[in-house]
Amino acid sequence: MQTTQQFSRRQVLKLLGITGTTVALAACAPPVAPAPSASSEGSSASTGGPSGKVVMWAFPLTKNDPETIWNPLVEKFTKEYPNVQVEVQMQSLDARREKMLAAAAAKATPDLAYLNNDMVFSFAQADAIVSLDDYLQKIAPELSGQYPKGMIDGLKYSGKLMMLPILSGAVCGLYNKTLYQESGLDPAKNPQTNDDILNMCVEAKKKGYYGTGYRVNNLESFTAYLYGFGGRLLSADHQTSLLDSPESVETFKFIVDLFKQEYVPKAGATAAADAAAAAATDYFAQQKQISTEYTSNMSLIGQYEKQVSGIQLGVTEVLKAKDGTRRSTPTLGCLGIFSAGQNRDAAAYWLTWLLRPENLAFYNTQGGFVPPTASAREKWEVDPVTKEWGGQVENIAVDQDIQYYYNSNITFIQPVLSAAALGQMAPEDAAKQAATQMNDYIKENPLK
Amino acid sequence: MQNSTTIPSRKPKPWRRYLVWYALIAPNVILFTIFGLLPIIATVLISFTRWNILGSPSWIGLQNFQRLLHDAEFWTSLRVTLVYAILFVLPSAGIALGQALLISLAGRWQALFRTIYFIPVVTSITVIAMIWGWLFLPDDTGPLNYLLGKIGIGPQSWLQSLTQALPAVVIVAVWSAVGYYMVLWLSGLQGIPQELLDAAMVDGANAWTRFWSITLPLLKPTTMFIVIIGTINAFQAFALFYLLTGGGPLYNTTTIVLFIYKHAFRLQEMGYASAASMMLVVVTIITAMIQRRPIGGWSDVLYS
Repeated sequence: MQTTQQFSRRQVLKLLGITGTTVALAACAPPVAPAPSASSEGSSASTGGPSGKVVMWAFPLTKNDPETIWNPLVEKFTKEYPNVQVEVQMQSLDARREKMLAAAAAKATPDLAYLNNDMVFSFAQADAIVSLDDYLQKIAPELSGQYPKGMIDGLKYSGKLMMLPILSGAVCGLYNKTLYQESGLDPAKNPQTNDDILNMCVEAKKKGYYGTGYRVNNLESFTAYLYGFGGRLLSADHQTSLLDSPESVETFKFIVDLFKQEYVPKAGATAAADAAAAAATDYFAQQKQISTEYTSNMSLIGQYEKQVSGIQLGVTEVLKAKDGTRRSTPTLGCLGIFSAGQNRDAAAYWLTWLLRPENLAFYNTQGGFVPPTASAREKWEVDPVTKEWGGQVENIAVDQDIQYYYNSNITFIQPVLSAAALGQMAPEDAAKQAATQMNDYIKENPLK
Repeated sequence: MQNSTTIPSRKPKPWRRYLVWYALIAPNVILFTIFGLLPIIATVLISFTRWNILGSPSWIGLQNFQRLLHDAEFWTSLRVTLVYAILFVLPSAGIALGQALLISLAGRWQALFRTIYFIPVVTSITVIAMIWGWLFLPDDTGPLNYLLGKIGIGPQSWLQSLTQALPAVVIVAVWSAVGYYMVLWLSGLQGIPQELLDAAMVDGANAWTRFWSITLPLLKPTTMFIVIIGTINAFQAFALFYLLTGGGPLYNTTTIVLFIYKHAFRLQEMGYASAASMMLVVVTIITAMIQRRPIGGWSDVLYS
């Protein structure tokens, strides 16, 4: 009897063991391979063309990107390259940077993804993305020549091209022409300089409007005014923050004055997350504010045209510095191929195909951004306001300000600018403290 | 003869006896090890390195901890977190107990009130932040300021004030959490034997005496649980602060988790953020140990 009991327990244990092992092995096994195609995955040699599955991560530009953008593009591509199956996986925009970093760190990346230009350095330094030079030479040698040189130079690491832009955008704003005219300003003459913005604000206040908008956690707005004063964020050797330069101090004072004189809504002085702040305090949509803050978000055009019936929008261009130059931090939506990608060769075909002028034009027409190449912009079909904003991409500058520590700047600017805007700190002290913290950060995290 | 008839006793080996038990708890242990223990060990190791997430970590010994000790923002965030924990735990536990006592008297309406008070608990934190962010608008257009104006009080800065921002977030946090603690108190109240309360009533004890001398002492395990869980939740506070104030104005609502998030993901200083996480663990353990003393242990209350 005892023997029978022991045997029974053993059986149970064996069963448990076998089940556990089976489950563990099943979990560890690679995913089921797709049905065999003309050639093995990733190979292009046997058939002379690319093949296999390509996985791409994209981020939404419209309400329904798969239908409006990706399905037509994938269908067209598949006609040309029938052996390649492209799967575009839409990712949420929330915490995009954090997700991309985590995925790259875990080597859990797709074959290629939509990346931003300010990610070049950190991703390339960690070998998370591969150079595009060899692929371009093999597949589309003419492609990189279509881009402005300044744009391409900013996407290189150790002399190698790491990403190519699929969309671009300059930091501009929108103004309500009706309110602008009502405030005694000429609707045909949009603001060109920081002084023009200030003048607009003064006139707007007389009529009971806010002149413009500003949120202290928006680095694009800060740099718009900083460049308007002729300043820079970082020294040319990337070693010193210039947030305490005279131009930067002037910028801090200018912004603090916007809040102090109530030219901008007070809510923007708190660095709350975008959704909560924007929903409650969108005075531009309520037609109580003449112009929006400076931003690269061109989807605002469509948003306000739908939200406010009959609104007449104009573009507040990239601000002109005293020496007549205009500079804008760039929004460059780029494509890069991950080193951990399973099918990099085929991914390169998909990437270069997407960057053909007609496909760039389609992508940006649907997505509401600007094709980064002049040849694609010729085929770009958009409304006049978008076209006007799009023309400003000529002013974008890819250089030391945005290549390395760009995003870190706002982490140090935001708290002190907020304090200064709320009258709890002098603008000069705020600028000095931001620069000190930024310099400490650079010292703690030196470039390799 | 004697030897030939004696059957040698076979003692089951201890490991065999427990094998089935081990097999049954194995899934939980494995998952805990992968998703709990290993990340904790990794955090400890990373705290001794300089690592920007993408590159290779480099060992720097105690430098991150030394830097923390001299980082004024870290100490501010620790102070903010401790003040927040006090301001959050006591009112939310107290209000929830009051609600639970009232609801326990509500008879057949109990389920309805319980549901109503529980709604904020199941509401998305983003929605809560959007609604309260609107209520707290600092100018005349803010609904709270509008109501204050009706009784002759001028507009308040709320989330933009150095002194009002933290209490304002506490109000939102307490409002959104009391429903959860109320349910815990209710279950604690339902566990108190009615005979004890009846006997006290027969002896002439009034409602206050019954609550003070019977109900409250018998709620000790629930109190212990709520205070410790509430404190841990307060130490982990992030989303409301991130959404409502972003840590401002001037770091006055920067909690320690917000500090950790900023260094980990905004500045890509994983080593430094991990060191701050270790400090948070130490502070949490010390606080829990301190809290145990006045409240007492888990098992020193016997219901029967």
